[in-house]
Amino acid sequence: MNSRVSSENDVWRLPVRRLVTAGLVFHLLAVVVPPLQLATTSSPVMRSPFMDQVGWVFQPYDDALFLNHGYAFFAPNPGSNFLLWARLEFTDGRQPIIVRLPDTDQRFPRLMYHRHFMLSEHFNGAYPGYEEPVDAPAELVVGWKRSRQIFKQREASMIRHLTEKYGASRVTLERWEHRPPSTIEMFQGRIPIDAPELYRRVDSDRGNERAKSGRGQGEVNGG
Amino acid sequence: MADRPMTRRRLDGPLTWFEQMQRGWDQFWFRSRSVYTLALMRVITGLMLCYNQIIWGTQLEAFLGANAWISSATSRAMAEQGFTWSFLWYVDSPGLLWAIQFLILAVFILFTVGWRTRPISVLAWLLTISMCHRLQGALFGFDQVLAVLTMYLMIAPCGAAYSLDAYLAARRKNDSVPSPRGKATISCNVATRLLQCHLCVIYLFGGLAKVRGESWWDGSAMWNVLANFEYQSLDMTLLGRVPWLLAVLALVTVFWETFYCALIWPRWSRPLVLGLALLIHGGIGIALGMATFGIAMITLNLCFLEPSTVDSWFQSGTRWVQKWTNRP
Repeated sequence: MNSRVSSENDVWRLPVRRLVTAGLVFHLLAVVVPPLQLATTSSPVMRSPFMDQVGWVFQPYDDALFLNHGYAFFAPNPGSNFLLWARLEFTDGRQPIIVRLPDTDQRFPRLMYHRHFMLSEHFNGAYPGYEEPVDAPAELVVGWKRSRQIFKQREASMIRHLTEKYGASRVTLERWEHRPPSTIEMFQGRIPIDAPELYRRVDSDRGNERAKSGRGQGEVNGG
Repeated sequence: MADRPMTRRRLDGPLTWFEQMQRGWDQFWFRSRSVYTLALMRVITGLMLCYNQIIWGTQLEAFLGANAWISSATSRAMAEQGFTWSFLWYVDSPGLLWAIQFLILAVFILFTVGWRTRPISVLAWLLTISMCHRLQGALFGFDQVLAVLTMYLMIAPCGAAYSLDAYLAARRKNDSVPSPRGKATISCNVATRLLQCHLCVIYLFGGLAKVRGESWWDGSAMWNVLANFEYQSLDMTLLGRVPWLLAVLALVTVFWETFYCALIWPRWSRPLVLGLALLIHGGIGIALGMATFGIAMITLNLCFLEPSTVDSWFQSGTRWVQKWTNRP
């Protein structure tokens, strides 16, 4: 066994080390670039031009190896969660129901609950806005149109999933924000963390931003 | 001609610096290291891969089928401008999906027990990233860490200890005890260093991202995390009655995360930094319902444990088990 180990170590001669060094430097740069790109971006228009260029070089490698992450866990400011509620209607006499993502009444297995939670969080995160950006560079408008197209495709995919699963005749997706209460609200106002007033429907494609109460009566959770 | 020695003398400083740097680099990357730490990480990573795959299996068609939450076509469209690829984009028939599910699970089980670990670890990594590329839109930090772990474990002979491979090799040599001793290789060290550097990058940017948020400075971030209904798995909101404690916890988190990349290397500060990692990730796992992510991050932190420490734990554990099993 030891002879096998020494023969493995013998491979690491100087030219091999130099070649591996070049590979290591490239790889480590590829690890650093995606989070650095995120750190140097404050909005779609406020980006570091330098990091954009560098990112372009490493993107194929980072994408292929699934290294394209910002690692900004609970940052910069943890706060509201974004939920997805689907209103399902039926033509067979069943009452309409609401399917919630995530379904806080069914948290087991926790990993599956979290997958559903991420579906809603990422769906909300991908929302590009309803109106085309005005007075924006052409490149940004093209990007918005593409994001919008993919978002609509994603929405259609989720609607199709729910339609097939529940046999619904009509499915409407709603995006909701759930903010945590402040300490004053919780300890002085005695507002629990799932109080209806902490939920707010966020802008939809109908362009209406409505404040609605949270959980209704007789709703069914699922997902 | 006369100023030649002078030029040489002037170059002495930079040349010495360059030689020292080169020596330091080689010592850092290209020395031998035993496999025990990576072998332990392989076992835990394998168990996490198996658990993750079993959980996907509970709703396989909802995530990978023809009418999945995010269909194959949508997943492909989402990746259109990237350089990703997944064989799962071309599969949506239930029968084939289940066959693939069992195949993937078999690979992950073999990776965990360490059978033919070298090719199996490559397969485990390819399957892990293929799943990630198909299932984008339902992923989180846990998946990122699993991909990191499988990628670097693939580089090293991580099946050379605590594995079926090691057991079978020892049996072939007629050893009475399948002891995985003496497996120090440079590739083990390269894999360990890559894991260590990658972990430092994760924490550095995690910390810097928090530094940008004012709520991490005044402590309200910690409250917003604890009072987060969708994440919460243990009600810790009573801590909100002690705001100074939340502020301290938030500051400790920010400083620990940001300076992890510096304080993890000196031997005097390493236990403290690793202890905080255990507390913080354990806390996230217990209170915020992300046990899988917590375990994955703690596993990643194991790369800073000396192989001799890990093996001494293993030997103690083996002796303890032998003592108990030999009891009348």
